[in-house]
Amino acid sequence: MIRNARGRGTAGIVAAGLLLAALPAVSERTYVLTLGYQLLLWTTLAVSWNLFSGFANYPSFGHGMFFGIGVYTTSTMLTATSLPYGVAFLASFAVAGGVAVLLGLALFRSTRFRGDLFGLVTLVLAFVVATVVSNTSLLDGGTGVFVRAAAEGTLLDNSPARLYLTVLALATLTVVIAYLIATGRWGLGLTAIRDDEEVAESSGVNTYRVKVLTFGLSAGLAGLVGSPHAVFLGYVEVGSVFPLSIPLFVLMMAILGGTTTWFGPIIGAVLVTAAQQALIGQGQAEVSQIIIGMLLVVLILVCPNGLGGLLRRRPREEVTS
Amino acid sequence: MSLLRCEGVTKYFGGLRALDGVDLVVDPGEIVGLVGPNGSGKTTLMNAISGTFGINAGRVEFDGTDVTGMRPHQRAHLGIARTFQIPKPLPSLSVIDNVALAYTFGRDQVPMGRARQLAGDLLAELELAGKALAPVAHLNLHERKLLGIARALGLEPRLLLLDEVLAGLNPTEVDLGLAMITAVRDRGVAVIYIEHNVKAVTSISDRLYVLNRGTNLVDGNPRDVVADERVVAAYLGDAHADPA
Ligand SMILES: Nc1ncnc2c1ncn2[C@@H]1O[C@H](COP(=O)(O)OP(=O)(O)O)[C@@H](O)[C@H]1O
Ligand SMILES: [Mg+2]
Repeated sequence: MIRNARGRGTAGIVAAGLLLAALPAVSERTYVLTLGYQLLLWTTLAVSWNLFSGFANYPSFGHGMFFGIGVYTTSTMLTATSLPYGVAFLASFAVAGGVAVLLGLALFRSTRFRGDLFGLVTLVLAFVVATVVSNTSLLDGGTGVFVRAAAEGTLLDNSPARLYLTVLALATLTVVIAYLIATGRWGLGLTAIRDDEEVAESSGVNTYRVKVLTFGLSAGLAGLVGSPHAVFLGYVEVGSVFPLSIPLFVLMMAILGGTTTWFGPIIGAVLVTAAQQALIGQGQAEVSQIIIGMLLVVLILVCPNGLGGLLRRRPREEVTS
Repeated sequence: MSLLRCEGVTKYFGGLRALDGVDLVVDPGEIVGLVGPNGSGKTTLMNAISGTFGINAGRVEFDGTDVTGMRPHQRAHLGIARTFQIPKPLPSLSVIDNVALAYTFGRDQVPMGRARQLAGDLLAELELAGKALAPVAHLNLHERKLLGIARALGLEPRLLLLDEVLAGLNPTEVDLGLAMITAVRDRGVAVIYIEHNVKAVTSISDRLYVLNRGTNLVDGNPRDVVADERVVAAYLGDAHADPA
């Protein structure tokens, strides 16, 4: 038996992940596995965004950029080198996380870069990165990159079931990390930063270090899930990897679900992805974004703390071990 | 050796000279009262000691270490804790987690479970145990100020900076507060006690400093200081703070 409450919570999340791992055994239909893949991909993105941007309230528009950096790290390493997929996978985490750590080291020196200004900087940087990728022939050079052939025979091997299981593992990992952070010491520090950085500092929190490391972890996880996505896409191009809609959807999901809980963004990701798929199924791909956007506005007006906020009574997770 | 030594502390806000060469010394385990008219620089001096901002000239030394360039959390780890003139409880945290924060991020980095235990014990001592699990929104002003002190004590400090913690409280609460500050001192924690109400601070201080327009006016034995004609003059016309 696991006696400690956080241990039990972690075991519960892992058990849910294992249960979902049975899906390929239940249905081999590509449609089903792809839908599962989409749900888990967006869950990973929304939950990882929330680790920093939600818990510490530093809304970032750069999450799509970190995801895209992961996609391009893997596409480049698969096509330009003969290294095994596992190396590309880990490199996607390291490059995306590394970029965020460097950015954090520079930005968080000054307390000015929070709120709108932080959002603006991440947004501008996302455009810069997309432009650089599109003009660097090693990475893309504007022609796009064919990953499908290079991925053949690798661990993922263009198999829908393997892609699904990989993203499931990453979603489980990300949710476990979010859960452990939210219920532990680190989360207490992030919450203090969200409420009042001056008080956090004077209570002993090294706010600079906590922000830089959490931003790096958040971005690294987005980069990590970008790695299988390069294989999923098969053909990678700047227009579909760095669209503004990705960070916007991530933001929307986290806010809809609630940014102060570890589970809120899961609810948001599942609801928005399901609604989107349903509308696309109706042949309403263009209309879907408008409808989802309007639904979001209404929901935020109805419950400003997100759907997760409705489920929670206490000020913060109270875990007695 | 003195615990805290401020030498020539100078701080400008734009063209305004909020502190102009202030000196202040605190010995271990003493209560030092810091008084002065509104705007004389008391809170600014406290910010300079706790590290909220850098200073333009001078130096701050704590326990023999030059802390002038250190960030607030580093000074907190060395043993400098503070309250805020306007209490700043963290609204997303329960009362107990406001205090556990200081224990778990303080010098000893106590693990969460233990930090909550210690926070609970401290809240019980301050008679806030009944509200430990409440959101801070449920606290009144007196309780918010107590919570601010509890959070500072959670750092297990050697120097506690109190900024007008008794302002706005009723006479009974003020007496309780003064007794509590004395009890903290008796545990070996040095206290700098900023107070606008000169009578209250005189009654418990071991020594008293008076600031005026960002400079040292007088310091020494509280009874001598309040009788000093320069102090009386500085307070003239200030109805709240009759130094009688
Ligand atoms: N952050 C700040 N920015 C600009 N001016 C400030 C700031 N803090 C204090 N001051 C100014 O510095 C002077 C001293 O203020 P303060 O230290 O708060 O006085 P006291 O606490 O003794 O009432 C005042 O004139 C005040 O307006
Ligand atoms: Mg003041």
